[in-house]
Amino acid sequence: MADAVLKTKKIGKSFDTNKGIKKVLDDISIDVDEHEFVCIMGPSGCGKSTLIRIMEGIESPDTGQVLLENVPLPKRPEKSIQKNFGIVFQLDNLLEWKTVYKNTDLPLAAFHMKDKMNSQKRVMEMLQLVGLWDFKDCYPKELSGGMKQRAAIARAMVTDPKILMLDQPFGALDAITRRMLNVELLRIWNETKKTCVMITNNVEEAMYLGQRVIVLSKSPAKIVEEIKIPFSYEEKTGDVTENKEYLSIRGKLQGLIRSLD
Amino acid sequence: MTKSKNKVVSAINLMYPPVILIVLLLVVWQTVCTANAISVWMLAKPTDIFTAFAANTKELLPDIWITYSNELIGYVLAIVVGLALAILLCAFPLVGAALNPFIIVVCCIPMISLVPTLMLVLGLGRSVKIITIVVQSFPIICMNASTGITNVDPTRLELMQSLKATKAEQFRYCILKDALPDIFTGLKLGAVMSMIGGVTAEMTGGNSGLGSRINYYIGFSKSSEALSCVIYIILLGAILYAVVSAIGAHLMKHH
Repeated sequence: MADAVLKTKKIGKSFDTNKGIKKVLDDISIDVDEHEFVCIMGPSGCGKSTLIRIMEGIESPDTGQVLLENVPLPKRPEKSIQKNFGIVFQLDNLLEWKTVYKNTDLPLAAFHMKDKMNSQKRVMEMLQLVGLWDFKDCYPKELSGGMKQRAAIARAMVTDPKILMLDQPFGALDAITRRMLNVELLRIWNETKKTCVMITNNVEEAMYLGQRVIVLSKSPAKIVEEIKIPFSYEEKTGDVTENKEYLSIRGKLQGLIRSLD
Repeated sequence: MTKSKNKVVSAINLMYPPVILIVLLLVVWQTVCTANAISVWMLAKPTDIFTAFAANTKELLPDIWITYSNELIGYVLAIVVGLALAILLCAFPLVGAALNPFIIVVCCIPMISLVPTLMLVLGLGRSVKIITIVVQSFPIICMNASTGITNVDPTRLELMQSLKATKAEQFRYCILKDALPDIFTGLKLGAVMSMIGGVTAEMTGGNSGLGSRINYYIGFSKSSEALSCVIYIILLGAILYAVVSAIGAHLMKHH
């Protein structure tokens, strides 16, 4: 597709370990279209996190390249490029000595966008979007795990990045909170139409959020399968889980994941 | 209202066990001395020490002033040198690799073995005492601060990378705050070390300061007067430690 926002072209990556060179990523090509929500799944330790780190410019691949709007990412992207990626980490990674407001404001300061973006208004909008405006003066330790991760999402989106990159953001949360945050994230995606790439280890989560699920094999990771999730936002928030097609896709995906582990 | 009341109550709860213990120990000390008729020059009774403490304050004032001011100047200088060096070592790893062994060596030197040599060069005045304090206490401050700065939580650094923060920005946004617990460990140890340094220098040479006073009194077997000087030294050490701890607790209240 010509208008893919983010493309990876035949990415390969190896690491030096004490048992010699270990290949973790092998020939991975992914196109992410604008406004699309792509989920990436794979057995644990297969290199999913390395892949997303390469896609967001924090690490560089050994072979192949990453294209952001058809421009190759340099080895060490500058701030002007990096600000196109809003990153949500596995653990919330909030700075505990800053309030929720100050944490959310941090990327605007770091990318020198405070004046350009009208930081006060922007931070307020983002905290309202994730439902944390009333907690803006709280410190992270005063928040629950789910609220912290919502603050982390607000922080990632505050610079209005082109793409939101989420690396197993809800993995450490309990099942109910996780489900609530999935609902929240899908709503945010539907409202903002932000392009999202998310790594997850949960089939339901991947099918609920993703329009496309990319399944990676065991290390060295290759793309095993790409599965389209052909349901609209309304269907997903409705009773899609009783849909026959949904069930058959879920069965297939679950079988696939189990066969890879 | 109730919150501040609770604070007072918890402060009292923290205070009374050590106070009771101290009083108890003093009573035992006093009783043992009195019951066995131990002579004053061997082991002064607490009452003797406190009498001397009260009686000598006026006479000791100039020495107290010298010891306290040397101590404060030396300690502040040690903090400046120690922290500046730590930042330098961490910002330029090559400099760090070159200097680290020296700092460890300096840390391992008991200053008492160097003070006589220093005095040959610098005389018996104030400067040699302040230098002793600085040299005794900056390495421990520097080593702890370096540990804190280099052991910043890697997930924090990943966040900094995601913002493409420059080294200075990284330092401002997270490294300094993340390193505070280690920095303050160093500052507290440094306070203790600086007390050792200052009194060591005073006891080795010169005739000013509480250290030289202790030498003087011991020369006349006036152990209660000597011990009353020790009380002044303990007092300053405790104040330094408490102030540093309080500043640390304030800066790290959200850690």
